[in-house]
Amino acid sequence: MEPQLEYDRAITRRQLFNQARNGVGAAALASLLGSSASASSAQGEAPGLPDVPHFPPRAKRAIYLFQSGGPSHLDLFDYKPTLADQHGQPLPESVRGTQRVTGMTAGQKAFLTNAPIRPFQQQGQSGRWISDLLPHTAKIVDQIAILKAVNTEAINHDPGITFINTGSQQIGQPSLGAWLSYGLGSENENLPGYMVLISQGTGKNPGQPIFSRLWSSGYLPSRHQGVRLRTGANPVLHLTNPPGIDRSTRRQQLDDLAALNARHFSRTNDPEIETRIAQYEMAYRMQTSVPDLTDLSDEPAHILEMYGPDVRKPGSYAANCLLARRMIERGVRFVQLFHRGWDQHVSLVEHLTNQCRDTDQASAALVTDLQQRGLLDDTLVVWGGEFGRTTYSQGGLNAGRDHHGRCFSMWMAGGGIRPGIEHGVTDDYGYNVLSDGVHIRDLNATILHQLGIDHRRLTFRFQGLDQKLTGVEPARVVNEILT
Amino acid sequence: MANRKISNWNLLVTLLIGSFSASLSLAQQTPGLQFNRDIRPILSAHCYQCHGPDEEHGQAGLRLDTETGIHEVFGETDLDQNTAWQRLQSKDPDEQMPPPTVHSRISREEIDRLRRWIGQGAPFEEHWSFRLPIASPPPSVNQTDWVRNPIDRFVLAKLESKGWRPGQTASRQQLIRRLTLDLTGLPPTPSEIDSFLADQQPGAYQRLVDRLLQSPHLGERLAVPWLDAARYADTNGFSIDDHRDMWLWREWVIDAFNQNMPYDQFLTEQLAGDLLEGATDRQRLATGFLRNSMNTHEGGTLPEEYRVIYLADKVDTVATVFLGLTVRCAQCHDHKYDPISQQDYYRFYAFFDTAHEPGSGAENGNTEPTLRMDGPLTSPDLFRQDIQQRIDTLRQYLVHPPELVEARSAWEKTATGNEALQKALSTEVPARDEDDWKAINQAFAATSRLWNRHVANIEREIGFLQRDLKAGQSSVMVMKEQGPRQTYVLTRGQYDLPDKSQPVQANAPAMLPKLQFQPPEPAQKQAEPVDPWQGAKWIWNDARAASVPQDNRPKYFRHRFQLAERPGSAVLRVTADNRCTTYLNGQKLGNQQPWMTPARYEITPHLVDGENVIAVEAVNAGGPAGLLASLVIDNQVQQMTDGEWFVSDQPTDDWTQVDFDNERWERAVELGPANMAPWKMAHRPSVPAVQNQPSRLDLARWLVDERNPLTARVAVNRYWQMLFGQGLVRTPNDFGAQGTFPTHPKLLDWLAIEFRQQDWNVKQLLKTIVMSATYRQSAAASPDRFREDPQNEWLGRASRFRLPAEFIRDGAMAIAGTLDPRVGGPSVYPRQPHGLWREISHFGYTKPFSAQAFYPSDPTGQSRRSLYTFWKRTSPPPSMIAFDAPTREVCSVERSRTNTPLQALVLLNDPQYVQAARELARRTIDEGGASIEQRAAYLFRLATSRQPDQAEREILVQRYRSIYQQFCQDPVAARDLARDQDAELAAWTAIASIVLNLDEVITRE
Repeated sequence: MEPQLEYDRAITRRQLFNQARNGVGAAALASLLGSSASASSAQGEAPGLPDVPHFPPRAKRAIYLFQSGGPSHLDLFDYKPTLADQHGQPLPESVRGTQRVTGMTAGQKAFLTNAPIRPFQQQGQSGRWISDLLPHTAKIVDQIAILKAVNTEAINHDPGITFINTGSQQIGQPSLGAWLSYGLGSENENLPGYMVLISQGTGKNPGQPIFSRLWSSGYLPSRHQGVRLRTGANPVLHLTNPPGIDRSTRRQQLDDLAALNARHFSRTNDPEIETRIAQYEMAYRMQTSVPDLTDLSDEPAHILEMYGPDVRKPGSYAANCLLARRMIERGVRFVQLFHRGWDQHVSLVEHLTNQCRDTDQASAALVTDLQQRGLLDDTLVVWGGEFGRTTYSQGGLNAGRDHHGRCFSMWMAGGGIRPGIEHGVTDDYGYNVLSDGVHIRDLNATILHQLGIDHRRLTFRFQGLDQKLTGVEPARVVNEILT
Repeated sequence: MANRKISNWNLLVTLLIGSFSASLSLAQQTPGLQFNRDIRPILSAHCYQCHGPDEEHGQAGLRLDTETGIHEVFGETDLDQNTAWQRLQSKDPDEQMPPPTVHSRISREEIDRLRRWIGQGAPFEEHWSFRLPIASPPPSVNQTDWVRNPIDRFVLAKLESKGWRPGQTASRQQLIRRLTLDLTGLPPTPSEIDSFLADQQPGAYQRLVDRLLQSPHLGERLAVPWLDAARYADTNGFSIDDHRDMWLWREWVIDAFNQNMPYDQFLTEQLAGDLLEGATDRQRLATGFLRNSMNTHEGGTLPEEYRVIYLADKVDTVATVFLGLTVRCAQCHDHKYDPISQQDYYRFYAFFDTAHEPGSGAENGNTEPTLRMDGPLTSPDLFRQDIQQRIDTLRQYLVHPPELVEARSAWEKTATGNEALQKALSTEVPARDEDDWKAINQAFAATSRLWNRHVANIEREIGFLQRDLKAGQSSVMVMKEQGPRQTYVLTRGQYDLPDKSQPVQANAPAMLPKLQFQPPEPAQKQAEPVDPWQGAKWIWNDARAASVPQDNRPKYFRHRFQLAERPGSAVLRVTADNRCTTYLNGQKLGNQQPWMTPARYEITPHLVDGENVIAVEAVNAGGPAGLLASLVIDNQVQQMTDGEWFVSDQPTDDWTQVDFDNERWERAVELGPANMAPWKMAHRPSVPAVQNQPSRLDLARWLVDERNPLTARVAVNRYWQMLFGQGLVRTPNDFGAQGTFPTHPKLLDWLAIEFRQQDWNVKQLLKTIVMSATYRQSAAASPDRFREDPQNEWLGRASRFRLPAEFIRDGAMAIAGTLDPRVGGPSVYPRQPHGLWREISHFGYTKPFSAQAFYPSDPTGQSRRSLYTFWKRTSPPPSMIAFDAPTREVCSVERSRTNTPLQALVLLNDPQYVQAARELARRTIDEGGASIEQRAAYLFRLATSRQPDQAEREILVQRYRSIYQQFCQDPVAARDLARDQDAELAAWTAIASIVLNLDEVITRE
């Protein structure tokens, strides 16, 4: 017996059938199916696991602004005056230690300290140091908690990005979003519970590749995988009817399809057929709910302005930030943006400046927008990438920085996170954690915690093990940053 | 003593089996308890984490997976005296077991089971799957006239014990549909159905089975789950995820199934075909199974880290696929649930550790070791034709990149420009010539960020294909031994923390029967050369390179040399500060960095009699620069970097080829010997050769040895799963303590023994199963039966389940009559929405990698069976993923089976399915008869293999009439749907789409 699997199978049928109840064909359907259909009906939203949330959640939903490539903590959030003093001097051996570095700089003969490319200023009431590269983030600094000592073992993109998004460097694990969908279910019966948006920055273009495994369901049932929202006529794949089939023709087709399926159900009694009928109804509803979501024409000018000029470019980071807010408003549980281009091995000054220009305003606008709508209290926002970058330069001063997993910065806001704080301390070179390190497992445990999930108890039996997002190594919720 | 007790107790259980209540699970309803079925799962779930096989992390030195431990803890039958029982009952957090901290709650029912078990003296059994299958005579049953073969006795005995009767026999029409889908993955054709229905002679069903077992599509059907298990894909998987060529291995699999290769041979060739005496190319090809692991060439990769990852993936795959064991836990620590120690893990790992497996490679193709050969199914001519056809398609895309064609048409409406452009724009599309398109594209490219990127990308793709065309054969990655290597336990699984106090030798897990190994006669020890760097010099184009920082532009080096004959062994070592890419005779060997670890290439197969050339592209990234290489042939340093080499800043097209004229280049400058500062490259003799140890071939032989309790059970369980929707063991990837107990343990053992006795005959096994009455039951059942046995554990009906992704698409094309039945061949690119690859890949990089943007096949590649669809791991085919196909990144032996709205959108709107509906409509009009009623019935039967009943036909007929009217009134819509045809075709297309979406059509029942 796989109790979890059995449960899941059973629930799939029930929950999805329920969703037919509002469909156009639903009434007809119920009569076609007779008592059996109503027997399997129950009221309520698409459920997750029966024991989730494990405790009252601080956040009902989350938006993860994933910055793919490894943003430079030293140039953005982790202010280290020493770097300017020591610019061009070798990074002391005592700081560098013996930890491994990537194959790209392992052979480098000198490891020269590189100052931040732009000055830092103290910002907000909290007086946090923020780089001039992030003028808009500077304005929300009192709303966010900056984590300065996040760390990971990975030193390259593929393992790093896989680790932070799926909890393991080993391939095949479900993503954070899939775990949330599995645990919490969906709040909206017309939209998926986990949606993904992708954009490419003007920093490094093309940025490092990303992979569907970052939003995949791994060994969880595949309906928990993230659904990508794209630009154009088919924001969800194959959403639009083929040319020549309008909505009323489609409705007629679906009515017949339901009638024929119901007839076959009466012969076989297989409840899976009921589910299938319900799924076609949900698909039909998605054909209006998704365009309604992506149509920005009802957004007032001042909101569009707040997100910046790029918001009018479909597929841009700014447009995706705004879409994230619209999804959250419609009850999508978890929205994840993947923004590429943060891998500054070369052209650090130009490319990092571009990356910041692409993202700074919209990230800040999203937090402000959520706050103004009263959504920030129960929406968790997370900003960060798979690792940081090295204190020392790669390929000459100011030319670039290599990957650095020993410490890097992220920020979180809303959803029960203490605003205006910073957490974790790195050494004077921003190279090692001095205190309050947050491993990415701890980060994931904290994200789950804010959504009402005990990371030790959200499990799925696979290959003989009760698998968890945080794996077998110890992980802790970072209580210090919670309200 | 203990043994006798157990066997008595077993006898008791056998006698007691009889009364069952309907709604409880197996475990709950048997009055007699079986340790393996009823008790071990409780202990495993709640206790083994601390009191299991992992002694190092165990608590109180207690092991509840051993007989001694069980007796010590639960032996006291008086509950009041039994401490363990008291602690299970305790509410005191310090006493309570399991402790509250582990979040493991034992249910009341489980507690009750433990109570009864303790009362019986807590009898212990070794874990069921680690014992050899036991031959049990098929049990006697009451309803003997239902029984067709021994399978039915096992199934019926269980049903009768529950008081159930088996389901009705399915109709012949249902049977031919089920069998054809199960054995070929395709629906039967109307004429196949007709001839089966017309065959009233005895033995008609068997004749049908025999016909299907001979179908060439059987191999394709059986290959699909095998490709999942073997994590087959057409890209490398990590990071850039560029293409690889493994389709020859896929052909091997299809061919092996069609030839009915015995399973033991199938297993042995895939694990160790290269090690067989006088191994043929085909046998070496089979080992591609192990090379299907993902690999990488991400910039900062530390090769040893990834070499270990690839090996761990092989261990995982082999253990899962052949043994049904989950060994991955033991990579870092002793297994918590099964008796597999960390030492066991690395003993298993050691079988693969001696193979040649570069940690970094995988750039725009295969990673060594590789083989070039003709396909088992595709002739050299056909291969060249396939590649040429793809090249021709891509060439057209250079003028009309598919993703941009629509945007270009839109742009044309407002475009203005010079005379040539105006002329081109005013020419009708079909009449435009090359110059017209050139003018248009030039102007359009200026407005499109993507245009030049696509062009560069397509040109590179063509280049890679031309490489194959020139070779005349495809490449495939295979296994090859590299020589002895001492394997150590890796501390916490870390690649860079070998525990030198724990050297291990290749061997099977200790808890399973011993692997028999006779060390061969001491072979001549291959002498290592004295020093591979002897005489080699660091070279560059500039004498100051060793001290003064150099420019970062690539430098190109060449060295030509003569061979009188192909040598027995040849090893090329290359390193450059900072990095380099090496070619031999035009073929890329791989990338190398950092300079401290020279690349080592076994190049024997690539050398030719006469002229050979080593070509190296080296890049410096600041600071000193240098290149060092040596070629050791038959244990002597024969070629090395020195002033004889040529160097240039400028590569010309053929610079890696033998016949390139390098006289235009400069001679390289010698900087100094290998051990010069700052590099100080010195020869480090390799560790002393380990003693002869068992090889992969010994592993394969151990797996198929009759003393191995798992291999046959795991294999038959997978075939059962294929035919019944789930295995007799519900966890096909876990036959260990955490897996599920078989629903029919004696049947599983009977099948396993039968399979082995029939010499691992796969077709015979399939035939035995499908000939049973159990298989021939109807899938329909009463609502009560579905409620009482939702998962069909009792097998009182045939399972009804949605078809795998591939067969849904194949079926739609077969029904429409457009399916191309060709078996085998390189992968093809059926259309998918534009941009899916490009948006996540490294598309746009200045020197494009392969498989970064999707370019659809020409029409001939649009209608091939889905198992030939090009599989990109970081963005797998969306219409397959929507229907639960795994990503093929890691081994998978079971697909989930979900039912989602995204699936509905695919079947309703994906142009592939709209096209199928249109073709089906055309076929209906052409072949279906004159009247609407006849056509509706014909269409319905094509898709469902049965005649519609009156009501069903009426629904379609009525809808056809109304939709036909609508299309008559809206000819634009009709033309849109029917591609410039009339309302009749449009209306039938709409009807065909309804039918293709029927649950019945995408379900096997």
